[in-house]
Formats: sequence, structure tokens, C-alpha cells
Amino acid sequence: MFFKTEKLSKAFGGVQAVHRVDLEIERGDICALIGPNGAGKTTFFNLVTKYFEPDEGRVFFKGEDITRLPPQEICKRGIARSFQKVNIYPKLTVFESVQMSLLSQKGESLRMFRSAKSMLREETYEILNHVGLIEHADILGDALSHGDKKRLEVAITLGNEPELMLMDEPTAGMAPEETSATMELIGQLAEQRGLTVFFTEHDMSVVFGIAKKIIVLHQGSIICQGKPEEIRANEQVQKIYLGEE
Amino acid sequence: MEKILPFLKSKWWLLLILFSIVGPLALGTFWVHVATEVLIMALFAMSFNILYGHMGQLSFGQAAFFGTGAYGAAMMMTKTGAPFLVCLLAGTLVGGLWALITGYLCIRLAGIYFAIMTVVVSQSTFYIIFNWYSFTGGDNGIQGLLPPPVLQGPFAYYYFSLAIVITAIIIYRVILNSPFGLSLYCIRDNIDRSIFVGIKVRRHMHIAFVIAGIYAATAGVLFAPFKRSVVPHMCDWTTSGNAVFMGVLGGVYHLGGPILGAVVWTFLDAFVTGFTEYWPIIVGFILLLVILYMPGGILGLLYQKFKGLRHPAK
Repeated sequence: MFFKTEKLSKAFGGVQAVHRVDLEIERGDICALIGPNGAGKTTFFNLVTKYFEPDEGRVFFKGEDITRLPPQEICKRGIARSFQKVNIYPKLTVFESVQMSLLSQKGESLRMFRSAKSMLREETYEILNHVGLIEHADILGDALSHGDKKRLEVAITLGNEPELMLMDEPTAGMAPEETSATMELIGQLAEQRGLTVFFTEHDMSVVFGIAKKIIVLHQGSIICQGKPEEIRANEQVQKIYLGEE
Repeated sequence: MEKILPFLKSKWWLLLILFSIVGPLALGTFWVHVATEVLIMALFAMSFNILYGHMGQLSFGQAAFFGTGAYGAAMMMTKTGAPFLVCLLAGTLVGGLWALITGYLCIRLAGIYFAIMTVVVSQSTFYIIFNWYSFTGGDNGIQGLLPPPVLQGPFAYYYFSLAIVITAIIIYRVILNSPFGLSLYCIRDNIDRSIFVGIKVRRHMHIAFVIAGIYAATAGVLFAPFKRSVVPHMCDWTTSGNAVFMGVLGGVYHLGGPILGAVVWTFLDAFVTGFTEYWPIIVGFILLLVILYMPGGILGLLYQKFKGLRHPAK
């Protein structure tokens, strides 16, 4: 089994944000996690990457129980994430931001007596080329446009050379044409790099356009999962989710 | 002229070193003395800057390591009679070790809590030294710390300090340009993101804390024989404040910031105290101007005026 959670739960105060979530993802899937605002999508990602400690339940990745590992170790195992709100390094150049992920993934981040400048240049430029940021390589993260910041967010995540990429609303705040370009990019990346992508998204056209599997979360629990056609046909989903769109 | 300008731009540091070697020959004993203090204070300010400018955590505790370094060297000199260089090395080691121990507490925190913890460390160190009369000499301090005869003249000690400080600056530069240095910038810019790209944030912060401690301790071991004595006040948080002030004055985002800060601060100190005893008021006034009108310090202002000079964050 590539990725699996068992009864993953988290409560904040009295609110059950994520409630006994069981799900499985196969290698190579492009999988969407959808649900209305407050359904627990981001919390679920936060539990998997250990931003929060789960109350109960377990997470497995490639057969290993990773529930108790710290975030850095989970990252090293091959799960990387991007954030819903832009979460980049404002005073680092685009090049350095991506290079850092690569350095860290290759266990070089503690090296002190070698200049970082010349390290992993080709790999860094390759990623920048993929996401279309190569012309902005020497610009500070701060100075990018919103769309480019989101792209940098993806590039930083790619730098960790993940096998499973968790993307929390990769197109949040983008203009429609940017959105479709970004989703196209994600599809390409998944194919070229053999990535498994698990993403949350609120735009239904985006979700049905790219996802091969959809999981619907409502008030912290999974209410159904399956192929896009099945989700579209599901009455319960239509009622609580699609009906609201 | 066409050839000279690019040369100046790329090799300015060579000229600076030449100037720091030749310059003092034109000065009298008093100003050479001041120049030596500039060198030592530059090291001290660099120590602060590693944590604040490059790692993003405000430390009001660098005096703890400045002081323990100085006391380590002083006690080796008075109690063991070991060779001078061994005493200095021992002092540096003591300061570094103290940073390793106290760092364990500080790096668990960030932001204002980190700053408060460093004050706690600084003040605890101060009171330990102040109250442990039988071991440290309490408020009497330790006197009569003479460097070996060959280093007793002001010029000799100046060049001795210069050699150590230049070495320290080179190491500082190498470290900050390394993957480790880049990791520190990431931690400064965005701790959360750093964790999720796999950087072991606490370990990096702890190592940086120890490196900063060693820099402060090195400044301390140079300072003790320079002043011929040590006093508990060297560990006080107001002494840490000097490092903060020099760092902020020079510009915390630049390698040269703390050095420039030390130059301006120490010369101002020597110059102004020559005709008024109200030096602290003038310091306060300058600090106010810096915070209000040049948040990037003197170097920050220069870089702003001459855009594209270099990477603004470093």
C-alpha cells in the first residue's frame, strides 16, 4: 500500500475537525480531497505532515507507520506539501528557495565549509524550468506576483523530490486562466516525475478536470470516495456540496 | 580610471585589510588603543549578528559568552600559568561550552520568548560570577592580566587582534555562504516552511547559537588581557545591549554591518567621552535616529541609495 490512513482523528476544543478518516491512495494517482469550507481538508493535511499531532489513528507510507515521526523525517521519507496561503521565503531569491529544499533533501544542509552557490545548480534550474520560473531565478520571493509565488510554492515542494505531493489549494487566489495553467502544470509534473498528487481544491471544474479519484469530506468525516463520475452521480454529495456551489 | 573602478569594486576588502595594517602606524598610542577595541567589539557584534541578522532571533544574552570567555581566559592565566595562547583557547572553549548548555534552553523558543530567555541566561551568568566570590573574585573581578611581553605594547596587541579578527571574518563569510548559512536564512525568513522542507530547525539553531557563543567568547578572551582585568559587569545584559546597538547601527542584513557598527560606535565613544560625560544620552539619540530613519542600519541605507550593489538580504 502506497499511502493509507486509519481512523485519523483530531478535535479542537469540542469541534471534531477530522473524524476517523480511513483512506488509501495508490502510487501514481492524482487524487482530490474536496468538501465545503471547514470540512477538515487542511487539518487532514496538517495531521499527515505532523503540523498537528493526531488525537488518534495512524498514517502509513510505503508500508511504514509514520504517525510518530517528526515533520522533517516525513519529508525525508518522500511526502512534501505546499500550503494554501503563500508560504515562501520573502528575502531569499527564487533560486535559493528551491535550492534549499534540494540541499535539505540530500542531507547537505549542515555543511559549513563549502559554498552553497555551486551546489545542485542543474537540479535547481531544472525545477525552475519545469514550473516556468527560470527567468525569475534571481528575484526575491517577495517581489514575485501572486501567481508566481504560488508557482514558487510548488517549486519549493518539488525540491524535496517527493513521491507523494500534498497540495493545499494550489490555485487559491488565482485568476481563471492562471488556474487552468497551474493545473495543467501539476498534471505534467505528475506524469514527468512519476509523482502521486493529493490536492484540495474548491473549484469543481478544476477537480473534475484532473482528478482520477475524489474523496469528499464533510464535517470531518469521509462521506464518499471514488471516480469522478461516481462522485458526480452521488446524491448525498450533490445535496451537501455540489448543491451549494 | 576605467581599470581602477572595477578593481576597487571587487577588491575593496583587500584595500580595507591593507588600510587596517598600515593605518594605525599614523596614529598615536591612544587611537591605536581605540582601534584595538574596535576590532574586539566587531567580533562581539558579529556574534550578535549571526543570531539576529542571519537566523532572525534577537539575542540580549551575548554578554554571557563574552564574559565567560573572558573569565575562562583570566582564570587560566592567574590560576594555572599556562601559556598565553592556551589560556585564550581555553576561554573560548569555556564560552562555547556555556553556549552549548544554555543554547539548549534558548533554541526551544523563538521571537520575544527567545529574547527573554537570552536575558535570563545573561543575568544568571552575571549573578553566578558576581556571587561566587571564592572562585571568581566576585565584584572585585580579576586584575593583573598581562599578555606576554611581546604583546604588551599597543601596536603589538593591535596586530595580534587584527590577525584573529580577520581570520574570524573569513570563517564567518565562509559559513554564511554555505548550505548551513542558507538554512539559517530560511529559518529567519520562515521557520514553518523550513520545517516542512526537512530542515532540522532546532539543530541548526543550536549550532548557530554555539558558533555565535564562540565568537562572543573570542571577543571576551581578547578583551581581558587588553583591559588587563575582568569584571562581572562584562556578563551583564547592558553589555549585550552594546552588541545589539552596534549590529543595528551598522546594518544587520550585511556581513560588514557589525564591523561598521563597531567602528562607528567605538570611535564615537572615544571621541564623545573626551568632552562630555553624557555619552549615554547621545547613544540614545543616535539609536532613535537609526530606528526611525534607517531601519537597515548605515549599510542598509547605503545599499538603498546605490541600488543593485548587491543582494539586499545579505
